[in-house]
Amino acid sequence: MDEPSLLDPAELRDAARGLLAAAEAQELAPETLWNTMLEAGWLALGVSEDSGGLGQPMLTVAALLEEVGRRPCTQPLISATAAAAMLDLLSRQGSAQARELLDAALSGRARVVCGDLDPACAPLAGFVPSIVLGDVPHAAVATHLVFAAKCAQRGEVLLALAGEGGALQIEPQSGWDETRQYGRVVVNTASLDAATSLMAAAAGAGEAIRRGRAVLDLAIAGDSLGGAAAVLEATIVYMKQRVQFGRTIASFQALKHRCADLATEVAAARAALMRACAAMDADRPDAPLRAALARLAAGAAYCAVADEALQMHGGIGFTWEHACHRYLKRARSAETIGGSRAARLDAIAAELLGEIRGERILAT
Amino acid sequence: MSAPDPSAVDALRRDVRGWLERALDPGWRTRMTGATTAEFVAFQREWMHSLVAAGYATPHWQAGWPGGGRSLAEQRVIAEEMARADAPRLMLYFVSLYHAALTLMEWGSEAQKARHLPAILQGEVWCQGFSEPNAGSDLASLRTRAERHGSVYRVNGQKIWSTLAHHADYCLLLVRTDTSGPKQAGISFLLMDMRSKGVTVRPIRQITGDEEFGEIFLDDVEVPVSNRLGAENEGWRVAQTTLTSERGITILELSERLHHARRRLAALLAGDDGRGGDDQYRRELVQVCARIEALRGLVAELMAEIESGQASIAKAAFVKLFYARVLREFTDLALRAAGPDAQRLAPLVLAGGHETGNWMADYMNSFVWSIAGGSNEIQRNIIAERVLGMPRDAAVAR
Ligand SMILES: Cc1cc2nc3c(=O)[nH]c(=O)nc-3n(C[C@H](O)[C@H](O)[C@H](O)COP(=O)(O)OP(=O)(O)OC[C@H]3O[C@@H](n4cnc5c(N)ncnc54)[C@H](O)[C@@H]3O)c2cc1C
Repeated sequence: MDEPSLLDPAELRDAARGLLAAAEAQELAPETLWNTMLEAGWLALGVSEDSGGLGQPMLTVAALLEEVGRRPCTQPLISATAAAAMLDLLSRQGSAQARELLDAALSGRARVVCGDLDPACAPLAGFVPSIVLGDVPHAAVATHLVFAAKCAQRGEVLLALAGEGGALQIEPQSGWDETRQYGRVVVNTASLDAATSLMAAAAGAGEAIRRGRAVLDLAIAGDSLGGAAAVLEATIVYMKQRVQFGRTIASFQALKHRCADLATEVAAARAALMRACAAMDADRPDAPLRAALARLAAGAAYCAVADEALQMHGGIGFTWEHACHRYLKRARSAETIGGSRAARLDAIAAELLGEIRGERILAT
Repeated sequence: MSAPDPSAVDALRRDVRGWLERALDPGWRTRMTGATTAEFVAFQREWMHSLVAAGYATPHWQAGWPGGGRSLAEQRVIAEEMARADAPRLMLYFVSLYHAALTLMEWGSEAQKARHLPAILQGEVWCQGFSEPNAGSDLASLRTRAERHGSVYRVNGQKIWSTLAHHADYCLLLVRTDTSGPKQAGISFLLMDMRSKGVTVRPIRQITGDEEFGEIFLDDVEVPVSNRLGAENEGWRVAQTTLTSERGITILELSERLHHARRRLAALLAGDDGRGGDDQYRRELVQVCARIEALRGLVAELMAEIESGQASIAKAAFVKLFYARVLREFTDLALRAAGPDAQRLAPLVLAGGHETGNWMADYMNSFVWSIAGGSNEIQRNIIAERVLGMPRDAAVAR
C-alpha cells in the first residue's frame, strides 16, 4: 500500500479547535459530539490504512489530543485511541475478530475503550466466579472493553468483552472528575467465551498490550499538555487584567517567576512528548519507555499548572463556575489511570535500569 | 554553514569515536582525582594539544581556522562523542575557545584575530572580567573606569568572580567609558593583557575548597586603544556575543553528559537486590530520568532553531533554567542516596564534569549553573516578561 498522505498537525489543530468551539456553542449532546469526532476521523487518525484508518503518525495524533485536552470534555478519545491501536495491531496480524471490532468502533456502532493493561490485575483462575476490574474511565459509556488479563492456561491475554448482554457488568460511578465517566466493571468469568472474547494470547498479547500502553501514555501526555498550556495561558491573561494594590497582579515578581517555571515545565514536557512520538513513529524499541517517561513529565506539569492556576486566581478560582477546577480534577484523575503513580514508576524503573545497565543508550 | 550530509556525519562519528578510543587515557579520572594545580594544568594542556591536532577543539570556529567550519550537525556529533566517552572537559581553555574566540570572530579586527586566535590554539588562556562587586545580575551598572589618554585607556576598578583569572594571559574586560547616558550606553569592551602593570589577581576560595575564580584589581592599568573590540561605548552589544557563546553546543554536551551519568547514579542506587535499591530513590531516579529526556528534547529543539537561524529567546531561557534545575535534582538525589559516604571529605575530580561521583562536591557545583551566566531568577524574569508578556517591574531600574 502507498504511504498515507500526511496531514499538517497545525491545520488539524485549527480544525479541531473550530469543531470543539462550535460543539460547545451549540451545546451538542455528548453522544452527538462523539459521532462528530468519528466523522472528523479523530479516532481513525492513528489507525493504519490497512485497518481502515488514516495512517497518521503518532506526532499528529498527539497534536490532536493536545488540542482536545485544552477544553476538558467527556469524550473517551484517549481511551478509545489506545484500544484502537491494539485492535489495529492485531488486525494487521490477521485477526478477523479484531478487525471487526475496530470497524465497529470507527463507524460508531461500538464504543470500545480500554481497561487495565496490566495483566497482573486480572488473574483469570478457573475457580474465581467473577473479577472486579475497578473503576475504569469511560466504562460507563462503553459497549466494549479491551483489557489485559492473566490466565492459567494461556498466560498473558488480551480480552475484548461486551457490556450489555456480554460477560461484563458495568455500573456507572460518579467521580470528582466528571469528564471520565467511570464505570465499575465486574467480569463474570462463568460467561466468558474464549472464542469471541480472546483477542490475543501469549507473545501476541504482550506485544499488543505494550503498544496499547505506549499509545495510552502518549495520548494522556498530549491531553495533559493541552490542558496545562490552556490553563496557564488563561491564568496569565487573567493576571494581566486583575488589579490589586494599584497594579496588575501579573506585575508581581513572586507570581511572574512561578509562571515562568510553569511555562518551562510545559515546554520541557512537550519536548519529551515530541521525542517519544518520534521514537514511536520510527518504531524504535525504546519507544514505550520514552512514552512512559513523557507521560510522567506531562502529568507532573499538568498537576503543577492546575494547582498554581487555582492559587493565582484567588477566590474566583475556587468557584464551581470557573473552569480552574475542571483542569485540576482532570489533572489529578489522569495520574491514576493505569495504576498508581508509584506502581508506574516501579514498572518503568525495571525497564529503565535494564537500559541503563545494558548500556543501550537512547539515541539523540 | 553547509547542509549536513548524513553519511558524512556518520563517518565523522566513527572517526571521533575511534580517535577517542586511542587518544583518551582511560585512567584520566583517577589521575585527576585530587590532582594538584600543576598536574591539572599539565593535563589540560596535553588534552588541548591532542584535541587541536585532531581538529576537535574548534569545530564551532569559522571556516578558515584550523578545525573550524563544521556544520552544526558535525559539532553536535563531536560533542555527543565527547560526552559518551566521558572525556575530560577543557576547563582551562573554555573561556578562550568559546567566549574569547567567538567574540573575536564576530567583532575583532583582522589584526586582533591574527594576534589572538592562533595564540588560543597554542594555549593562550583567557578569563572574562565582566562582574564587579556591585554589578552582578545588573551587569550594565558596572563602574570600572577607562579614561582615554592618547593611544591608551587608563583603567581603574575591580572585577570579581572571574573564572581562571589567576591562570589567564588575557582578559575580556568590560569598562565604563561614559557615565552621561543610560548605563548600557557607556560601556566599552577591551582585550587586556593580564601581565600589564597595575593588574593584581587574588584567587577566591570556593565552597568546594577549590580556587577557580578570583578578583582582579585594576590600578592605572594601561590598555592600548587598539585592543578595543567594537566601537567606543558600544561594548554592551559586543558583550552579548560573549554572554551567549556558551549556549547551544555546550549545553548539548552537558545534557548528554547528564544522560550518560545516569549509569553512575543507577550504580549508586542499586542495592544488593539488583532492583535498583531503595524504593523511594528508585522512583526518584525514574523521575529524574524523565526530566533528562525532557531536557534533551528541549536542547534538540534549541539546536534546530539555531540551525535554522531562528534561535528564540524563549528556548534559550527554557534550556538554561531547566538544565540548572535538572542538574540540581540529579545531584541532590545522588547526595541523599549516598548518605554518610558522601559527607566524608573527598578529593575533587578536576575537569571531571558535573556528575563526578563526589556527590557533595557535585551538588555544590550545581549552583554554578543556577547563579552564573544569568541566574535562575534572571531567566525567570526573561521568560515572564519577554516570553509570557507579563509587565516589567516598574521599580526596577533598567
Ligand atoms: C562559579 C562562578 C563563576 C563565575 N565566573 C564568572 C566569570 O568568569 N566572569 C564574570 O564576569 N563573572 C563570573 N561569575 C559571576 C556571575 O555572572 C554572577 O555571580 C551573576 O551574574 C550573579 O551576580 P551576583 O553574584 O552579583 O549576584 P546578585 O546579582 O547580587 O544576585 C543575588 C540574588 O538576587 C537575585 N536577583 C538579582 N537581580 C534580580 C532581579 N531583577 N529579580 C529577581 N532576583 C534577582 C539573583 O538571582 C540572586 O539570587 C561567576 C559566578 C560563579 C558563581
